[in-house]
Amino acid sequence: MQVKNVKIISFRNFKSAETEFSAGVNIFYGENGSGKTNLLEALFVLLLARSPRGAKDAVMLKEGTDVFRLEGTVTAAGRDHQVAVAYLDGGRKKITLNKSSIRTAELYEHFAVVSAAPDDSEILSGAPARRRDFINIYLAQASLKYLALLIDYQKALEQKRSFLRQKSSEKETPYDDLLVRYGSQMTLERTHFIQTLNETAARHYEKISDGQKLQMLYSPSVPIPDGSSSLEKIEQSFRARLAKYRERERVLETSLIGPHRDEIEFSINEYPARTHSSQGELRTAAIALKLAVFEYLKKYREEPPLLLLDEIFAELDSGRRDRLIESFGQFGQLFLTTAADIPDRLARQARRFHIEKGVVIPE
Amino acid sequence: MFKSSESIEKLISNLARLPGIGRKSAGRLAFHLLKVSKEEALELADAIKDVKEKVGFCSICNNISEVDPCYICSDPSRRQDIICVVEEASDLLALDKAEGFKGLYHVLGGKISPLDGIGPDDLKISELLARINQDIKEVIVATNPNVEGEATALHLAKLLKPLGVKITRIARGLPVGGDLEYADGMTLSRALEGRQEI
Repeated sequence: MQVKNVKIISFRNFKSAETEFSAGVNIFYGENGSGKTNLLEALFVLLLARSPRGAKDAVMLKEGTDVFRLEGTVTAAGRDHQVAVAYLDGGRKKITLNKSSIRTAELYEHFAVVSAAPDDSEILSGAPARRRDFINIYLAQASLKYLALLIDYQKALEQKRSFLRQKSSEKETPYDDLLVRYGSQMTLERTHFIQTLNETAARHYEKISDGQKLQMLYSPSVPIPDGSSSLEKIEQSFRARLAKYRERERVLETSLIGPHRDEIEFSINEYPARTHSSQGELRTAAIALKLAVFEYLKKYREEPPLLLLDEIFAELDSGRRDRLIESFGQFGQLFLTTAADIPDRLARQARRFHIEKGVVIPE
Repeated sequence: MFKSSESIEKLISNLARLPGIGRKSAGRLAFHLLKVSKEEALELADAIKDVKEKVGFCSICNNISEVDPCYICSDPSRRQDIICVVEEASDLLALDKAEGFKGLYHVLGGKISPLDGIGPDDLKISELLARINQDIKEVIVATNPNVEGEATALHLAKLLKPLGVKITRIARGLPVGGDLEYADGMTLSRALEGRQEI
């Protein structure tokens, strides 16, 4: 995966910018608020038509405008693609790939991108929804089946919630069967994904932190009987759980059971990360997690995904920083931002861009 | 913007209530109707009036019809032991154009979609259950292959199963004539989900 060039129009603090990138390491430097992070965000939106930080589309508009447009040439699987993501007046998005209009989901078929940012430590320390969002956005890039399930599950869930709010006297909602079917498959896909990530992230964490332990444990809303990987068993368990909570769902008028209530537990050196870990530990763990995702996607898509690293050296001691840079060699195209000095080892192999108040100046 | 007359405004807002027609298209249609001859315009008005006065619903299958029972339910040459369940009468018309099926139909009048205020009780489901007797061998559920159609199908299956009738679901997935290599990944993924033994 490689972004050869990009054209940005009225996105965040960029009025209009156009630039070409190196196939290796690209560094954006500049003062706070110059637009470095926004540029990384633009690259993410260009590839997947959504913000990596979960920002609403309208929030990404430049102040005083009501449309934005991102264009670029992206190489994927050995082919050049012309991609454009436009946010139109009235909140609609128009996405074109090689001049034909496509649905958002089709972007996931062609492109993959991993983003790491300072607020990633919230994946470990924040609310459960943050962890589910993390799983969804990256697993969807590895498995189109998961993406289809996720879209259908969300629709069915909205219908169920609406049904519960209408206070029907029926015992079962007419969407429960469908939620069991989609939800059980999602649970199974998440199980495999998290198992693999757990091993890879632990390896990266151990390396960067020089011997510390990171563990990631899937705790699904529907318990998986004895670590079984049989879809049938999960469906049974799902049904039993729904039956048990049916009355509460009816009274509370909301859906309490299913992958939308899954939890993922992280521990560092065998203590729960949420309550016991330092900022530095959380930051390192979040980076290890993103490196694990990178490896996962690289394996499944048979090429390295784009890697966006926003201020990842902040809060890391020099030992951790050096060991992290060591692992950069195995990556494809890489974009990183920094407000501080660029470590020498990186500066030598990188193309540098000075970002100043929404203007990109290549060196 | 110029101010149009009240009667034009009324026509535009009525047209804009039609599905798929926004204010702009409604304006275009209204000005088109102003331009055509009086006869042509009134022909449309009469057609609408006729349809509303003459066309009703079949009391057996809920198909739109000018006679009751409809021409399908009263056709003895059709198979009487198989019922194909569809969401809307327009789906019935599409299916009946396909020569493959010569049985009976049942039109639900929609799909279960609480977000649109449509629950199971708003569909002609009890009417369908009442039609199931020893003579009915099979019910084909031909609701649309989307989330709402799928949920409706599962709901029907649950109600029909205890009646001892064979229940089948139309296949979903790839269009005939569509090459695999041109299908998008999600369609393929869903088609693989619905694969059948051969």
